[in-house]
Amino acid sequence: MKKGAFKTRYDSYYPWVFLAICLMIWQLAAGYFKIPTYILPAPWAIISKGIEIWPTLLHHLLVTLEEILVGFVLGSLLGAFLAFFISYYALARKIFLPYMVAFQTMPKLGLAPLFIIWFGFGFLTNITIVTSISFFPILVNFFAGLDQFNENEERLMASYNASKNQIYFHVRVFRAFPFLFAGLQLGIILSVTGAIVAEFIAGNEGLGYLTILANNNLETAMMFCALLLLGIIGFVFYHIMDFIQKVLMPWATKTKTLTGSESGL
Amino acid sequence: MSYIVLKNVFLTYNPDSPGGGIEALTDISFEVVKGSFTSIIGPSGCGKSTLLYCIGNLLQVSRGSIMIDGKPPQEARKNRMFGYVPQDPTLMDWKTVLDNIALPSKIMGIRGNNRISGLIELVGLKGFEKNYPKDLSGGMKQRVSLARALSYSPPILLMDEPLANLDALLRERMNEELLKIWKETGTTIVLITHDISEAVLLSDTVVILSKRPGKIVEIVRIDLPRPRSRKTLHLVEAHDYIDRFRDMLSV
Repeated sequence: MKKGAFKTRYDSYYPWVFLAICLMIWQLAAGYFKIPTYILPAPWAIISKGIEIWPTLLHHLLVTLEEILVGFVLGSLLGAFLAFFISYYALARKIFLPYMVAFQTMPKLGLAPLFIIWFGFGFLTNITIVTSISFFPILVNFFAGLDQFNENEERLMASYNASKNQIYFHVRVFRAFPFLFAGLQLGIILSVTGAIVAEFIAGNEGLGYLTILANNNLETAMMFCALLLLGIIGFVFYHIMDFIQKVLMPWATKTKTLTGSESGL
Repeated sequence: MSYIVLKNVFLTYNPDSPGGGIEALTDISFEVVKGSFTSIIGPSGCGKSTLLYCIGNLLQVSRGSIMIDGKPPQEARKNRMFGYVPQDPTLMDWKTVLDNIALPSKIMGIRGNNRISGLIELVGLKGFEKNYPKDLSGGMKQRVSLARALSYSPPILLMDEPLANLDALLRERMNEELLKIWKETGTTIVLITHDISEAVLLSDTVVILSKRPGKIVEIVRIDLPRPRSRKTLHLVEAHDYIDRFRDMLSV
């Protein structure tokens, strides 16, 4: 091991210790300064509230999870398919590439009111919003990956007299894999955001809806419960994607890092 | 018997640009005998790789003609007559050693290529079949690249400084292996190199190119006894060739 790295088997405990200290300070400060619970409830109050309303939380959690998963899967399939289509067919590229660039700068959440008009309040609108927001980073990233031109590889494939099809399915799609996963990871995070915002404006169920409901009733502890669950959802999904990537790409030397610039949020 | 024939080959990059483009090759003519070993040497940037691409139909000549066994290069490429060994090994990261070597066969629709296991042994990679390129050293990657090019038994091997990035000792060993493989397979080899002693050690014929735009300075037959090994380079005649080439390249 490198000298001065101070890597020990306790390394993974540090964040938890930090969290515990923060929660302790929060708990003590809430009691000491007598902060009203509708402004900032103490950690213990949030936890006991969470236990109390767990059946309700679970119900809304499942609704939100369903929206995220359905919307994300649809968005990924659509994004990946379109990326391939635009990359593979020259005519499709000529037609769609300018739109892709134009849409990238457009705030996709701005479409939400339109979806409400089309699909009404509830599940369908929420899924459409999640799909439309997660679809874009996957499209852009996968397209960028497919469109990389590695001169050496193309030359080698030419020396085998390989067809365009063979070049795509032996080289380009694989070369684009890390990009696709970068897009998927961004997409899943945006899906969580999308689902919440969708529920804010068009929901009658789900954690976002619950947050708004709690807000109206000044049930701040309930809001914290919902937010905490949302945070956990995003975290878990992100790591599931990471795991899938490691399983599907044992050949990769390192995983791609995320860049927010391609999110198009 | 001339197998590869170049006649007055010119190549200009971007000929339509306002400056008239960049002239890379000027009036190149030479012939390669079937089964022989030819090296092309010259200073860097002289168009050596460009010349190799032209022979392999990876680039179109601007003027002049190239014939491969009496056929234009395009037809020769379509008939998969070229085994191209690039300077960068260009292995597919997502394929194992075995799958990388089997890639050309897969693309060409050669089923159950039974040469491959023998080739893996020949290039000394037995036991690494299931490894990914990230696990391999530079020398091993080059050997995978060589085995991949040999896997479909192309009659012509086009090698673009495949050993340039290896250390001197490994290079010497690889050169001896290359001579062995050449003898066993009877392949016609055209090798690009900027290493003069490598060219003298390996070749029957050495084509010397000038600085850009690449022009032929001289074509020299190497009359050293075969089989050769690195000891061949201790011969006085070998030294004479090396000295002569060095003088030609330094002008």
